[in-house]
Amino acid sequence: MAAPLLEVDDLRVEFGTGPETASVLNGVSYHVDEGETLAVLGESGSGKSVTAQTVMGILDTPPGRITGGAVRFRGEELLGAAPERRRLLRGESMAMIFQDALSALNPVYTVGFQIAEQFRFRRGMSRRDAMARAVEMLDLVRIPSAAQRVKEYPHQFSGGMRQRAMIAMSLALDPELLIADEPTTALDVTVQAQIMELLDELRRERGMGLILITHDLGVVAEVADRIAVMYAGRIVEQTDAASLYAHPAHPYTRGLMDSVPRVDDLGRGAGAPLRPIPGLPPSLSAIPNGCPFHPRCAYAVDVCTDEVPPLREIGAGHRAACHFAERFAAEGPDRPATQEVISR
Amino acid sequence: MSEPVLAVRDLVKHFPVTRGVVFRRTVGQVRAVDGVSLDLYPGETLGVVGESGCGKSTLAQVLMRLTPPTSGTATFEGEDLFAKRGAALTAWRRDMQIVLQDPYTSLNPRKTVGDIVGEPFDIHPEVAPKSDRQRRVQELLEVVGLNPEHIRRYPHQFSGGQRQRIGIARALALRPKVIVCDEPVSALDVSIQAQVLNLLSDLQREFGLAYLFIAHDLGVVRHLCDRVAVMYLGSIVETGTAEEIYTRASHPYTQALLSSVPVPDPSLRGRREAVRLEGDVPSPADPPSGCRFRTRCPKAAPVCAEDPPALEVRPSTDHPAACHFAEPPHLVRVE
Ligand SMILES: Nc1ncnc2c1ncn2[C@@H]1O[C@H](COP(=O)(O)OP(=O)(O)O)[C@@H](O)[C@H]1O
Ligand SMILES: Nc1ncnc2c1ncn2[C@@H]1O[C@H](COP(=O)(O)OP(=O)(O)O)[C@@H](O)[C@H]1O
Ligand code: SF4
Ligand code: SF4
Ligand SMILES: [Mg+2]
Ligand SMILES: [Mg+2]
Repeated sequence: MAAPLLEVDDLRVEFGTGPETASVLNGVSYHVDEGETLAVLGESGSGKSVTAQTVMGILDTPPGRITGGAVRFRGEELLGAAPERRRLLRGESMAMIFQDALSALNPVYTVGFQIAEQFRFRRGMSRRDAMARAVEMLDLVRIPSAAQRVKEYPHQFSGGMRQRAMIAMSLALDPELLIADEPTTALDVTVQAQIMELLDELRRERGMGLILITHDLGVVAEVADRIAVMYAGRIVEQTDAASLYAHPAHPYTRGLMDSVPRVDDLGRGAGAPLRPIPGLPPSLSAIPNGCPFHPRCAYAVDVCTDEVPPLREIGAGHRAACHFAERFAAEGPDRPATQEVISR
Repeated sequence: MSEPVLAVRDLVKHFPVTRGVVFRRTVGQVRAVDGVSLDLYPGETLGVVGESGCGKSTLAQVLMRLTPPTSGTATFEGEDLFAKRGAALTAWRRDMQIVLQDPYTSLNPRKTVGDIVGEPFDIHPEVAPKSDRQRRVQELLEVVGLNPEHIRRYPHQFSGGQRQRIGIARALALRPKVIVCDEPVSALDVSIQAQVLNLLSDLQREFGLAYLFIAHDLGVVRHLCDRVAVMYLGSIVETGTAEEIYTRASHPYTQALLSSVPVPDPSLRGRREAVRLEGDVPSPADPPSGCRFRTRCPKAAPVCAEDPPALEVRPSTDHPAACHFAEPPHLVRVE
């Protein structure tokens, strides 16, 4: 079998020194194939962005320190690669977009200039040809009147349009992998829906691998092929989207699902209490012994405080890091089976 | 039915748009709130939903008397809210409190939690005599699920969810009748958000509070609210009970909003209707003529550019919507 497009293997990253050392990534492993959407789901501070930055080679070291693991792109190990090689891969092979498009764009250059720059410096195109390609790129991301908008500055774009412009810029050199780090978190829901649809279409048209980083269980359910759930710098569960929602195997995954107030669901009874996960995520400089989730887990028993549950295979393509994962997966979620949806 | 504790009629708040530094001229108006009417009944939760910039926070600020209205009226327990001065204003402030979105900036970083939560007692010493102050504050911390021993800690020593609890404790101190919640859980992670939502429900039951609950998250609003008002560009476009809005939305904007919310259930993928709105919300400084939603409305007709639709019940609907062609959506049951 060919190597996956991207493979992250047992990645470990720390920040700080001495007793203040924060173990931010504690053995993160995931992979994404061509044309596939992998969603990385987790609450803030769980290490989603640090993983992505390490993959892209843009993690600040210091203060960060990569202490172990590997990142392979089409089988090529990147963590030891020369800086020129990483620079070449950025843009050409892998690209990243961020939550905050405004600060990722340069305010003093037109949007068109910033896109065209890549064609000029990395493809050796003339100014004129590069600008023509920039217009095509804006067109590709469905910006109306692209030929006019290309001459505008980032502040003249709305939030949704800026995110489109950033997508255009990231796709300019035709990368095989796009990492989207919370691309719609700052946007309103109607605009979020437009952007998610656009990303999904572009992935399909180009056969691109997409890593979608998000904290929104709804977004994940609508677009992900596979999902990796992160907690305290680890992947705690990983499987295809349908199985994750139908057979959540890790108590943290189940807790997230029980915490979300759903727009389509009076099944639990309107106003019936949500079932939040008690407590807070641990400090990354004092991660609990055993299962890192045990202080918040309703099912914790003695073995959970003593032994770290490894991320292990519990079914075809379904991996979970809980001592009792099989039992939880078999129980399924606690959710009504039927509901009403708005339809044509 | 009881009398509303808060009744708002035709409320308008415009902000002038100015040009020039030396000779400041007003060149236009941002019509942030442009004719809002609503009633809040004792002990209920009224949700106000809408996308950013539609005027939700401005509405809250005007009702809290933090900025004067341009026009319109509001009564609190039957008394004119905007006419209150002096002692009457101070007395009313006990009854209506606000909780803000950002647990990071809404608490003074140099004050201890005890000072922050006890601050309302400084302004209203009649509520708690000095000797009783510490006990009352500790009681409040306990009510919102914080450790009463932490009374001498500073805000930065707490997590985001805990800080939001501090803000809630402060709002509760004077035993208000109404709390305006402006996006109180928007900045919180989902597991923490659920803790705070449950806390708000518990407190409402225990103290008989009425909430004016402002949010952009339609799931949160469905969970918490008895009634809902949907805002677009400064006006309410649809209002009804939570059930009416979430199962029989009849305004095209509400329908599009609801269909845009991703549902955490992959088995519904491709089975829900997707009403995708084109483009962005127009500027409130220059709203469209007629129906304000017409530039993005999939059902817009020529009449929509001429006549602003009234917020009223129409023949095929059971609750008010501001659309000439309001009609309920088609629902199907899926397994
Ligand atoms: N430059 C940095 N210096 C110190 N700590 C950092 C830095 N970047 C990230 N961290 C820490 O790493 C942890 C994971 O961060 P991040 O990957 O951004 O989380 P997520 O994206 O899942 O919200 C956090 O606790 C954060 O404070
Ligand atoms: N002090 C102000 N001066 C001028 N415009 C304002 C002011 N406050 C709010 N606005 C404008 O009023 C509109 C409504 O804002 P806001 O009430 O904050 O909306 P929401 O809370 O729904 O996001 C926005 O266009 C905003 O830019
Ligand atoms: S290993 Fe134990 S503590 Fe950890 S998630 Fe499983 S049951 Fe809970
Ligand atoms: S009045 Fe016209 S433009 Fe406005 S919502 Fe109804 S159909 Fe759309
Ligand atoms: Mg992040
Ligand atoms: Mg606001």
